[in-house]
Amino acid sequence: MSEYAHLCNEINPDLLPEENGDTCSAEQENENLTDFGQLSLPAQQSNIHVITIIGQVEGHLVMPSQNKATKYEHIIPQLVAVEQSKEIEGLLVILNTVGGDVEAGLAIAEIIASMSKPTVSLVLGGGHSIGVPIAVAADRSFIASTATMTIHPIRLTGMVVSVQQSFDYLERMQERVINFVAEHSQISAEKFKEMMMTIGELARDVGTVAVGKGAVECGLIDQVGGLRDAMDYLKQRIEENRSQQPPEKGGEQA
Amino acid sequence: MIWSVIPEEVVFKAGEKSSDLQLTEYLGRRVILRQGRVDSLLSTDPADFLDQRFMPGSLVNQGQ
Repeated sequence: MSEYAHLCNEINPDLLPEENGDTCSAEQENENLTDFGQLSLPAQQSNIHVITIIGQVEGHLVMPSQNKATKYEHIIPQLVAVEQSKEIEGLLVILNTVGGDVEAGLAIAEIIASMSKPTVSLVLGGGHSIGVPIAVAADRSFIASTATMTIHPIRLTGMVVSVQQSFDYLERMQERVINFVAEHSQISAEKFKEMMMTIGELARDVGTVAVGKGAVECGLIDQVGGLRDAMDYLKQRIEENRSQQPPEKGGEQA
Repeated sequence: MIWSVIPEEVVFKAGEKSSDLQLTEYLGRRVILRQGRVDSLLSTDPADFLDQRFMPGSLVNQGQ
């Protein structure tokens, strides 16, 4: 560790107690500034945590390494940890995803929807396909004015046994997504299905591309906005939660 | 079942060599390493992303 002792860091002083104290002198901070052109940032504890859903949502199948992927085995324990933590008071979910595994996406969406802490989603860039249920799962959803959401049918590709059961299974998978979206947003199941089947918007598929305001107008997303709007909503909900909490018992006993 | 705007033949394109990424625990945080350097940090705490030790490209002391 001595090799790195001069890299004085004050962001998380409790992270490495042995590194603080005598190894972090003002002289070493100056050295750090001279050597790396960097100043240590002031310590800060965040009560709002953030989860980013980027690239493909990876589920039951490992995707080849050329894909940028968000793995559900990473995300789900993080969501559980956020729910359990006493210090964390709100969660911001940032989406820029091209879609991915239906069941992994639904699992993430269901956990977000069932959390007791205030949750906000913000779609930036794109929140396509399975990104849609994840976006609507939060208590309030925001979309950047330039962000897009593609709503298109679920497909079965590769070798498919062409029997009625295959079609029924596909239909049921699609129903699961449609019902989730309809339950967690202002859009009706009929309207969402209609958007899935629209022709003339996508080059090689049927479906709809909802851009910023369009996603709000159809009832899918609650509001056009950015980080400030998302944070304002979270802070407001956190304040409400604090005011509803009963006073500490310790104070009464004293 | 994949539901994505990226065609499945692109998602599962063969011929890529296996990834040299390695998931590990470093200073109490989960990080993905590439050749002993931080590739990405898996944390929900935004403050961790301001920590120089977790910046992409930072050398990781494996003893930690």
